[in-house]
Amino acid sequence: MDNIINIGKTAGLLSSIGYRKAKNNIFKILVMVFSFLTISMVFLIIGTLLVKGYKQINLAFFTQVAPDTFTAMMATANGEIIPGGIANGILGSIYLVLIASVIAIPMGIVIGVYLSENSKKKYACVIRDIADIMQGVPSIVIGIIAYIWVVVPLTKGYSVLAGGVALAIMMLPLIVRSTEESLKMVPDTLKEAAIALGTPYYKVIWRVLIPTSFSGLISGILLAVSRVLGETAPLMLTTLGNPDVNWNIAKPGSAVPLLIWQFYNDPNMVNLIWSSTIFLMGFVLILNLISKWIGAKRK
Amino acid sequence: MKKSIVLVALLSLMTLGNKVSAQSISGAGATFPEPFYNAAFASYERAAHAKVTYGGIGSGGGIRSLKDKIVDFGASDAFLTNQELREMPAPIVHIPTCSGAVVVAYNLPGVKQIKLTPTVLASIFLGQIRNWNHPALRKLNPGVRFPNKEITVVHRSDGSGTTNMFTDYLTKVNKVWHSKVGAGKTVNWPVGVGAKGNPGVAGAIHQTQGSIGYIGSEYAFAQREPSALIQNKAGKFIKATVASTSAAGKGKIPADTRVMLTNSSAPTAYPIAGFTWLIIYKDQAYNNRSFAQAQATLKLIDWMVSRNAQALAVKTNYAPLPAGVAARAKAILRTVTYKGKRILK
Repeated sequence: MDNIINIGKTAGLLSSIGYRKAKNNIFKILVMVFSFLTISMVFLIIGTLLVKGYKQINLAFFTQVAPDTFTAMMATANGEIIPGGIANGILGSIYLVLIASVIAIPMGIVIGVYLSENSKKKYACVIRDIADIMQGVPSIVIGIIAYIWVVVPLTKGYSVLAGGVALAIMMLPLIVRSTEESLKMVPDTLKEAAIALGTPYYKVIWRVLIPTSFSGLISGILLAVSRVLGETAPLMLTTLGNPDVNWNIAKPGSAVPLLIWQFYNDPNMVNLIWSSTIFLMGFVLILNLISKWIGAKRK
Repeated sequence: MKKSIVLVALLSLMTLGNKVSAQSISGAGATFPEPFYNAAFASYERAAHAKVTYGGIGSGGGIRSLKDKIVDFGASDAFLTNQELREMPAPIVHIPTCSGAVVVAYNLPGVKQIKLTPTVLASIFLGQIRNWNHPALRKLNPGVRFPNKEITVVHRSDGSGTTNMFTDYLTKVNKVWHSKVGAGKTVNWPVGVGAKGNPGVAGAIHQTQGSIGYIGSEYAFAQREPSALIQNKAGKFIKATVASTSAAGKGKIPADTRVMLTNSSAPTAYPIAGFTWLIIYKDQAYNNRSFAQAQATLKLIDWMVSRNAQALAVKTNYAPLPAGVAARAKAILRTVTYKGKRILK
């Protein structure tokens, strides 16, 4: 009798372990399948882009401006690759991001410092909430705001400056929050030591807080830059696009995402979409890697 | 790093001051004629040293930009209604630059050519004719062996001038369509599946046997999509080509060129066609624009309706303006003034 009970108990125990193991395995497989799906999506995208776009990537792709429809059509009809490149878009994008950085970086860092130094104050909480809300504003809305603020009254026409302002508005909350987060990582003891030595407060910020969190600041900035590089909607309402390279801040300029939109609308230029996208993805990927690398070095 | 950023900022501010005077013209609007405009403007820039930038932000955006006086010209696939004209801050003129058509593409393996009357076309898109084996289709196309297959209608899912032109045509030729669906950039489709853009509709048709849909001619001609012959007002079955699209403009045109060319009475006209326009202010002295700027703008548009530019339209699969309409456009341009003074002679 006892024996039977014991056997029954062991069997029950065994079945519960088996059940747990099975459950474990099912979840393990599920996790693996879903993570594989996610990763394969990335490889599928990159693979498609490379297969369709590698032919168009050559030196001219980086040094020449976008071709016109007719040139592209003749090339496609003859089975040649489309001549020209996206130099106007590449330089335009870099110029836009520089303008946006000049506006957003100093402002963002100053606000970030304020937030981390006065994190409990009511005013700081309001600013933090606003920054969080700003991150969620659709980019087209920011484009409309830049249109109303800059395009109509200031440059009286579509301009690079308006595009820079739109991108700056998008970068600002990202930089504010990343600055605040990386300043919070600075140990309080470091700050206390500096203050104990009689260092004035501004010098504590300038010489202690910012240098020690420098890598965090840079990686935050790079992430913000890579975030706005691919924006199209706000640029359509602000910089408009330009067939040539333009350095005049008050005139329309080009950008890679704008060119992709233009290529999409033109049945003869479709082949250029893929190569332009490879460039944009590669550029963003490199920025992300650099920021990861800087972040890792800090640890 | 920071110093270099400041330096770039200063440099760009300096260029802000001294480069504004260079002759550059900017315009924005319709995406439909953008390939033609880009080719034409590039050619103009090479020949005449005036820089032109054009952004394809949609017809609505083009009208808005001109209203806000931030461009030298706007571009639109639909002419401004009387109401819209009243809402503009100053009188404007329409200059047609070329025309385009909407072709009806289908996927029926083994079937080379089909003919459609306006009534049958409307019936298909209304969902009244649901099978390719329908007696009406067989009667119209005696030699064609239609499969016993359900018809899949493909239409645009995004707002589009192409949809506007197509539904405007159906509204003109079919009473049921007129009362049930009507015309517009987006309509409430009785049947069918939606797809985004011309590439989307063309792709859906390629992938679905037994499908039928409508595609902008600038895309269909470039991709050599096969399309149905449509019976025009004169009773002839017409294939959509650059020539038959152009012919749609040969009918009676109002003085300000504001007209939909759909269901044209010209005997050789393809019936689903329409102009696209550039729009400018009738008096060019606004927003402190210089006379030189106004003159450069008008010269550009005058060139757009010239023989050279119109030849470029044909090369990029757009239909050129008939001679009469080009002459009309030139006449309208000569009524445009700068502070009351005529600009072009």
